[in-house]
Amino acid sequence: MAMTSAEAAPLLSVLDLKVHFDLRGGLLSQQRDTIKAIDGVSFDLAAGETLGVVGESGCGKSTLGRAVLQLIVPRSGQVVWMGDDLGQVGRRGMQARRAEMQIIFQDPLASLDPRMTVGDIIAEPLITHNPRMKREETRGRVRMWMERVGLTPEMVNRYPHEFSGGQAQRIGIARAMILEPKLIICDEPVSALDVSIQAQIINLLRKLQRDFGLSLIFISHDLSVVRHISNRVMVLYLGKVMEMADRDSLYAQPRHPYTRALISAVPIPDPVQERNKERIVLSGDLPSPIDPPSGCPFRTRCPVATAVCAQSMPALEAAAPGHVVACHNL
Amino acid sequence: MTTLSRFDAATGSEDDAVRGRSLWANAWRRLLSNRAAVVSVVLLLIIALLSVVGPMVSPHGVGEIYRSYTKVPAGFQAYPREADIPDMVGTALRRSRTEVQSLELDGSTIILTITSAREIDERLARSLARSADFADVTVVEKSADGLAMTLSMEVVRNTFLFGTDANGRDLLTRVLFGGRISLMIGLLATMVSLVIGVLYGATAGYLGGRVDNVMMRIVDVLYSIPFMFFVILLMVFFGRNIVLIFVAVGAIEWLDMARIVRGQTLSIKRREFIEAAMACGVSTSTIIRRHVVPNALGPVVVYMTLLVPKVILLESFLSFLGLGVQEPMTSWGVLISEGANNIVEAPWMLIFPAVFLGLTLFCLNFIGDGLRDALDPKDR
Amino acid sequence: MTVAAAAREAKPNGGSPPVLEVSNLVTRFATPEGEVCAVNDVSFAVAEGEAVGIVGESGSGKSQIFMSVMGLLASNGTASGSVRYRGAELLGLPTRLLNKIRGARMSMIFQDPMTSLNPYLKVSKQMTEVLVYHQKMGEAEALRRAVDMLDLVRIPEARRRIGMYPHEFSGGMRQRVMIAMALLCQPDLLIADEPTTALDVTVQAQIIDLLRDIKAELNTAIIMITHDLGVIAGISDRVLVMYAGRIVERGGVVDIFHDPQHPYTEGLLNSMPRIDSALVEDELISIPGQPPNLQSLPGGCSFEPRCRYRIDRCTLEAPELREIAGGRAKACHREALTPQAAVRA
Repeated sequence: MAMTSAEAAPLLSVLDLKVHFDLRGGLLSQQRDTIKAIDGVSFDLAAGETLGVVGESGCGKSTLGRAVLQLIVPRSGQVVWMGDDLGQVGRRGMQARRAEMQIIFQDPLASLDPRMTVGDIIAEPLITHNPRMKREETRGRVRMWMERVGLTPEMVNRYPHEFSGGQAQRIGIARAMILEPKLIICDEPVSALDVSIQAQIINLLRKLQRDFGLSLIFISHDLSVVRHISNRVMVLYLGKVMEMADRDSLYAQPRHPYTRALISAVPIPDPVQERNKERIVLSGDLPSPIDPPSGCPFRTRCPVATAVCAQSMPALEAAAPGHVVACHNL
Repeated sequence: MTTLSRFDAATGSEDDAVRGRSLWANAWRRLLSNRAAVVSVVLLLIIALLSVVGPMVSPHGVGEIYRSYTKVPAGFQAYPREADIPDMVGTALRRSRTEVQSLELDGSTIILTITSAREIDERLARSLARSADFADVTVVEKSADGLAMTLSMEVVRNTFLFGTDANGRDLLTRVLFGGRISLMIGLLATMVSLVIGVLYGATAGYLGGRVDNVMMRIVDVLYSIPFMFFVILLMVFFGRNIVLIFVAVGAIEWLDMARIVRGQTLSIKRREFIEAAMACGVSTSTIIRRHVVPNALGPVVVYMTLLVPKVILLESFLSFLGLGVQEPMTSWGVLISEGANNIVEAPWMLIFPAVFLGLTLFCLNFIGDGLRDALDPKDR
Repeated sequence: MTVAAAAREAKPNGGSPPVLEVSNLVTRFATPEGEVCAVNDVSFAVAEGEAVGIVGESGSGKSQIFMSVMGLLASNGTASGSVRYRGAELLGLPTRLLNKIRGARMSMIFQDPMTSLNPYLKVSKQMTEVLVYHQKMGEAEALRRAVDMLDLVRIPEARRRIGMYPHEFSGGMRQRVMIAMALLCQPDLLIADEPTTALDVTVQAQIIDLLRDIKAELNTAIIMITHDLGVIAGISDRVLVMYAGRIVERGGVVDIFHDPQHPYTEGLLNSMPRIDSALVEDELISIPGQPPNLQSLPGGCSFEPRCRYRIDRCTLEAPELREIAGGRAKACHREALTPQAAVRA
């Protein structure tokens, strides 16, 4: 079990979540490979909290977000939403809860149906969950949300391709927010945007979070952005949690060798510091998730790996209050 | 390059048009700038209009047979020709035992003076009028002894712009009427295949997994049925019937459509806006209807314009083999088939329907090409 | 900027002509919606062994400069002005002659290595081909050289791996293969277009280290095109900042980062969350507005609608790139970017 933050009843608890994908071999082959995209992840999320999820591509961070929303059915484990196990609530129950949890995507243009007008796109969740809402009211709400996310309501009849990436992401945010959910999963929401636009979108997300008491799961490979927006941060590697801690604790005193390497690899936009900083350069690339290393998945690239690392996966243990690490060699 | 139609909020908000430009509108604009496609659309509309209106306003009925004018060549020549009129009158009068004394031709009006050894019966005029060749037969003058009579009558003169066929039917009328049938089969069979194919393909592709597997194996099985065998079987069981042709062609062509739509759906399904809709709790059927089908429609429209000529050709082929539409109905395929049999004595019987069919196919192909470019400009 | 200034700027020791000298380059694209000027009067020079960083957002024209330089423009694009490799004009050169220079004397690597590698050919074949073509080498010698190159870019077990197909390499390894291929003919200039954007941070750090070592060991001039200021900070000697097709600021890397003189450069630096800051900022200082639409640029300075230092003159007149103190240049009417000078917060 992961540690819980101060509140007694978290908004969301994820317990030993596992998502595995079977890769089918050829037509006649019996062999089946399994990708363990998420392999035993647990965490709690309090109302109004932001959990940052960082890791390299293929670490399962996007899968985690989708499994929480039950867009991907987990192999095992529980996703408990306000006391209800989402695996047990059935299709109807899930449908009702979808209004409370939303998602925004990495590629803002790809997440908008190119054949629909912006107004229709933003209104879709509203129409789905309140089919009897009056047309006028729907339009009014759409316009209000467009203004809130920084779009002029005059653009309601335009099509996604007429917008820049930053504006398209605002549309995506308006669509996610129109039902006023309690949780938004942000799947790399700024990675595809220009630097100057990233800041606008991050500021917007933080403002919405403040105004509506939103919880965010902020998935990103950009450690600087995650540091800026998160209260707590989880570091994933090949579907397993390597380290999870409060933001300041994690960035100031990273314990896991992987976290240290990640943080030291982030380029600093300052030539003097960037050239003089001490960097832990990891050798090699991420191993194939089809055939992960035995024991600790990070051992193949770990600068401090020992024999024991190949034998067993270290358990997540508290290294400090609210700071858990999975490493044999702390 | 960057997105070219970026809207700049900082500079352009005041005079922003409220209407957006949809992808369809964009495609339409690009299509209009494609000259070949526009010419083709216009030409096709003209052919369609002629086919619909032509047989209605034509002086000749579709099944009307001019026994005297079989295999008349195409041209502006009016029939009967002036030189033939005396012979024609002679033939018409043969049984009345009269002789033509004088014959004056003024335009299509004949002033005819006949004599006879016996008194001429006035009913002769009526019997002349009964023949299809003459009209307005009036007795102008009759001699006192009744042995001579002057008649005035109109010769019915027919023009066969495209000539006539082996049975003496006007080819122009028949070509236009055949166009009706051919275009109708093309359109209706395409519509049938469109509806079945899009629904089937989108469902199979979207649901995926085992459902997809079973649905697509059914398509494969249907594919393996030989088409001609299938058509002949239908003919044997239900007799020759134009509806059967729609059924037969539509039943075969939707298979391709289903495969195309399934392929499209598979790629659309992975796009993030589908996931966004799922995350909102939109039901599967609504996702297919609202998101999948409209986005799969581009290639479908292109395929449709290529399917129409395919179906027309298929029908022509069936008709050519004698399995298609039945007399007195006709289609371009039937006409071409007849023309091919008479290619030596009456080449026009082949040329005209073939030109119409060819033009239509060209137009449809150009439109298809234009649409493809317009709908997916990146592919160029 | 004048051509003479561009030439002067790249000749610190006054010796040989610069490796690459671009003057008054204009690149236009004909689109159905009208002509678009992607690169607008750009001049700069790259000296031997120098690393120049070019930073800009999407649509700034940073990539199109080098597409023009390499003769790789899309069919609807035309380039005018002058591009000289060691004094020899490249623009308008027939493909046959251009091929003697590109790939051999100057090479380019791209963001996605998979698109530049032929998936059906073994890496060995693709690498030796270049040597056989450009240097008329024998197959055996070319292969030996290719293995050496893979060693140089630190691909483990190069001798075995060279017989593999591109898809058998991971993303970072593929980018190494691309760099090895680009270096085969020992070019004087390596143009890297967002070479690390598709890679993970840990791998990005490896590639930047590699490029830095190559520059030091082989004295290859490197042009690093990227939107990531952190990458620029790590590798460049000099920096060009681009906005809407123009160079808006030019200077030494420390000057640019510690004392930005153009409002856009300053805005970019401000809007990045920093992992090394002591306190986490409450709110990022973003640049308002949208990226420039090349089709409808404002009349005066392209950055004016988003600029917090704008004055009336900015709407009327586009600022020229002018020399300022410290061997730097900027395209801005304002002299100093002090908090007092800011018109809006």
